[in-house]
Amino acid sequence: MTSPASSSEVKYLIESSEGNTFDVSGAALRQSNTFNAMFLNIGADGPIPFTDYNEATLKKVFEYCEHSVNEENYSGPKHQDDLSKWDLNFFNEMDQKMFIDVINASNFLDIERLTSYCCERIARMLRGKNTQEMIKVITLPTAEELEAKQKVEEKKAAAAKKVAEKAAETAEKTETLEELPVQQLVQTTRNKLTRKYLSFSNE
Amino acid sequence: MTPISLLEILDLPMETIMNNLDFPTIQSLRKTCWYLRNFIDDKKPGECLNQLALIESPNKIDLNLRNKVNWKLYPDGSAICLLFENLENGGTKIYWQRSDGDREKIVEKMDYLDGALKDFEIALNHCKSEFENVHFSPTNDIKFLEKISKILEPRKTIPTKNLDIGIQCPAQAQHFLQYFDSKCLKSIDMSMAQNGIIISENASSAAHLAILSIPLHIIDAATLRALKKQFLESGDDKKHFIRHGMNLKKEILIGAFGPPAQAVLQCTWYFKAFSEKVLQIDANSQFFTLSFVKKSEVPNGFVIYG
Repeated sequence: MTSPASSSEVKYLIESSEGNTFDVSGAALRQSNTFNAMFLNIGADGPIPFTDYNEATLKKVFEYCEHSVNEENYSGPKHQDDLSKWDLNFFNEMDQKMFIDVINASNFLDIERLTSYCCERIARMLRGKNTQEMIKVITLPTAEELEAKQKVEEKKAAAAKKVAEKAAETAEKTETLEELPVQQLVQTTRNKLTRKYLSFSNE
Repeated sequence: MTPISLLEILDLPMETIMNNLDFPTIQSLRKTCWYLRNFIDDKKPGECLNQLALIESPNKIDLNLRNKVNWKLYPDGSAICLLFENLENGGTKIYWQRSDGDREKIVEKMDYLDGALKDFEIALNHCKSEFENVHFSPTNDIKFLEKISKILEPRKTIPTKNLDIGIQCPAQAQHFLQYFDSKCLKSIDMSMAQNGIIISENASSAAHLAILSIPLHIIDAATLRALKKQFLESGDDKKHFIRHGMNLKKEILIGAFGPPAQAVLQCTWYFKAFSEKVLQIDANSQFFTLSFVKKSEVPNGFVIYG
């Protein structure tokens, strides 16, 4: 693993849910606020585990980041009509499953530009439609799917609560961040970011 | 792209998506499945339409919703203007005034009051914090008041900055006032269709208001005397009445209160009130106000009427 110098040539190893690793440039990775909050200043020994997402999804997300490295700083969502040809191709070539995985991964990695464009793309599919028209563009979940989702969410909430409690406990005991397991650090920081975001949105 | 499964999208990006949607789209989405309905009811995403008007006329109800800055009709802007009209067969005709052309639909077997109040309730539920303005204008239809009470009674008081009520009788004012959070209210503006005066009986909730504005369309000497009497008998020295856009004739004021103590730029009268308080009435080309002052604040030589 390389050291986290600010040079764009620095490469980081990313680990996917399959356990596969691949390179991502520091410049691309720095578009992820989650990464910035966790690793930018402290570095990481070994691959950075983003193991909630598969290799194809992560590669797609970082493909976008690599492409937008030289774009000017993000200043809020653009109208879809203002997207470049490359952006449009990028979105159009994804199937529905990949698109949703990319939204979720981008949200987890807190890549503002990509998350915003993806969300706006879906909003555009829905905007101005009545319920009947909407049913044609969205897949309605079955009762079983809803039930399964509810169970997953309950489990996730319980797990997140445990992690948060453990992290708070560990943070009190641990003086340095390096002593925290990386995945836990990811989760803890993400939780903090999420809480911060939610607290702003509630104001 | 093939139909998308919103269920697989995590809550945070889902909220971002919905924050990019307008009010009617969110309400359409809300009707697609219970998961999205619960999500929308919980998060209240999208722009906040915090100006609400419910105007009843015989067999019709207007429901208008908009935000503070955008007055343009949907879809050019965010203002929603709906009219619910009673049909003879018991159904409802709904007109939706839009920037791209009005739409109308007939809903069989739906009472027009129920239709309007259901959407009114959705608007109440969707407001994230407090309403900037709420305007009610009922007729004498008791059914409307009963139905609206059913919606408002189980709720907490509605946080609203400015309340504007066009009423038919004093009881209606009191009826609506009880549903509003007095801590949030910055102004109450009441008008009556008939000649008369309302001073809020809910004085405790109005006492903190900077302005209690009660514009009256028709006013005469007897009405002014009634207003003065209500102040003198209230025992509440915080009661404050201001009417803007004064257009009363000086003769009517003199007819009501007698010769003014001062009549240079404005007319002023003082009346002995309770304790050490004096009721001061001022009138000029802009304002007509009633308020209480201490006896010691009355300038020397000015008459205090008994």
